[in-house]
Amino acid sequence: MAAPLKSFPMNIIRFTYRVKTMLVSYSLTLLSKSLIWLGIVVLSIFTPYSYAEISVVDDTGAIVSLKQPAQRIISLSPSLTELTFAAGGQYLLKSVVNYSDYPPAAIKIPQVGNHNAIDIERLVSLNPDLVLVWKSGNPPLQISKIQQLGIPIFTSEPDEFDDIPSTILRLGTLMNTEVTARKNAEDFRQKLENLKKRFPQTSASKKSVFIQIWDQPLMTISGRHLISKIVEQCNGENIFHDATPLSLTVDIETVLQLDPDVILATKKAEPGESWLNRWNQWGFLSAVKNQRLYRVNPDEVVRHTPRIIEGIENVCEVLHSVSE
Amino acid sequence: MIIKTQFYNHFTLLAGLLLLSGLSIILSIFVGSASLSIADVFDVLLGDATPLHQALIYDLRLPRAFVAFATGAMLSIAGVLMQALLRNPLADPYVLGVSGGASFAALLAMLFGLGTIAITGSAFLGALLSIFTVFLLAQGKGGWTISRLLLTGVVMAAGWGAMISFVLVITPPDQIYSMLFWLMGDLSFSRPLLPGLIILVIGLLLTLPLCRQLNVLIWGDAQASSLGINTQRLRITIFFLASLLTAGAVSLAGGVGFVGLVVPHFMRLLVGNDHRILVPASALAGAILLIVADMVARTAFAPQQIPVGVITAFIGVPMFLYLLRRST
Repeated sequence: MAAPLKSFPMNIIRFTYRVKTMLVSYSLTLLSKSLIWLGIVVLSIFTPYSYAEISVVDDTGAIVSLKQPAQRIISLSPSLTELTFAAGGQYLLKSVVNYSDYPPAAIKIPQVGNHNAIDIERLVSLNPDLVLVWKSGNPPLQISKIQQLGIPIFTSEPDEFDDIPSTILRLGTLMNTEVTARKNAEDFRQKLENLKKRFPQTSASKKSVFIQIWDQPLMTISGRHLISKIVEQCNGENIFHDATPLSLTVDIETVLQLDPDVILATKKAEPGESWLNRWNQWGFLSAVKNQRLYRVNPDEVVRHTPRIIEGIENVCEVLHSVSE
Repeated sequence: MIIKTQFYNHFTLLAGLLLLSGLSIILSIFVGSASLSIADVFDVLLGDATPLHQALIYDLRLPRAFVAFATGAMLSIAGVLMQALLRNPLADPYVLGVSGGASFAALLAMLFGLGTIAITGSAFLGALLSIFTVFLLAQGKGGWTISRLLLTGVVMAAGWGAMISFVLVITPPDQIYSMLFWLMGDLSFSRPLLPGLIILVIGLLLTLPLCRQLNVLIWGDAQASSLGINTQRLRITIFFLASLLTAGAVSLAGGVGFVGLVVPHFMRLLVGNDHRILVPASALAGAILLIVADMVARTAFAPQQIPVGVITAFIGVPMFLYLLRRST
């Protein structure tokens, strides 16, 4: 009687002990397993990025560093919008500025104001992880405000044709869309090379060109401007190449006296035609005598984007037809 | 005897100014960013020159000198009239908002991409709109008082200023430049010259017979009324004359500043307060000032051009300050 009585509690104790050890060991394995999983998860979240921070150098020489590829990008110029598309970041662009009208899909992207008057509140509320800044176009005070808020910026100030593929590649790195970026950058370089072969530069048949960017007041640009570089690529000579300001208001007198071979207005159809018609009153001008008044779409020659290929092609076709 | 010498003095002064204005027009033919020798100019005048030289003089320099002449003269007469009307030395042709209305309308026309004639026309219509609005609003319960006219005009001008700023803000960046040139006053815009000259001639012909009454008016209403002048009617006439001249000037050259303020004071220091002399003298002096200022605007930084309004300020302000110090 006693034994079973005694053994019963012993059994109970043994049983509970066994259960306890089982539970402990089970929970320990569970804990250790979950710890391992947690570790893997934690590592998988942090490891790749903490080891490989993305960084590129922007056009001001500043280093732009991101912990992870940019996912929410805001472009502050129509050109940068086009370049972001070319770099493969179409779906990462959360906002753009007014006049971002190319490619057509850009029109649907919500806007944060004008390039020269940015709605900072809206910009911040969109929670961007990269803002693309146009150095000579955006207000410096607004840009420094964006920087103060801790938002990374990439500053762009393209100058030469080659800055176009270079910007596309750097944007591709920042957005982790390098495959598309490399393809489009290479495509641009190839097209540019083809154009240079198709329209070789010869010193013999250079034509002097007056580049009219506005009518009243009459305005032109100096040799440092992109349009002038296109004209010179196409064997033309900007008659105001040596002017100091980037763009300037000039006297009709000076244009009449310099008597350019070609007058090139950068304006879309309607006002462009009347701009050119104005010169027809002076029949003694070479450009009028030989009917060399031309017009190009300004968007293709003022924006540092891949579309410039079309601009170069148009201008070169005009200037080379003149030489023949 | 004294009166007679004074008459001769004034006559000499007017003749001198007329001669000077003629000389300044001739000088402006010779001066420009394109180099044209004296012999070249004489060739053009004699009719055997290259088409380039003919174009420089007949298409560009001469019309521009006439625009400067008409604009300067209109602004100066309008300035004299405004200062007499408001009995306020600070008054200038723009003080009552005429140029504001004109500028707003012109800028709207530019924003919608209209042509030169439409811009000039809408500037004139905008000026007329502003003139009549001020005129009607200034008529309160107690009739038409000068202080109410002045305040209405000043507030209207401020209102136009705000609307101009708004247009500038919503304008695409590439169009801003032509608007700024217009607002500062610029003669390089090709505009129809004839309507401006007609307004100048009409304005001058209507102003000259009023000069005797103007002389009395500046002494105050009581004196004028006691001499049998209907001051109310006179004031309304002056208001519309000054506004019409300002509208003509602004449509022709945009908002050229300082001419309408400085020239009348300058001439007053020279010839006194007799409006029979003051009005024609100011007209000629204003014309000369603007022709000379435009020569500087065309050539100072050639081939780069600057708006003439900037130059009139640079010439007008120190010249006026100097005269003011010397006279007192």
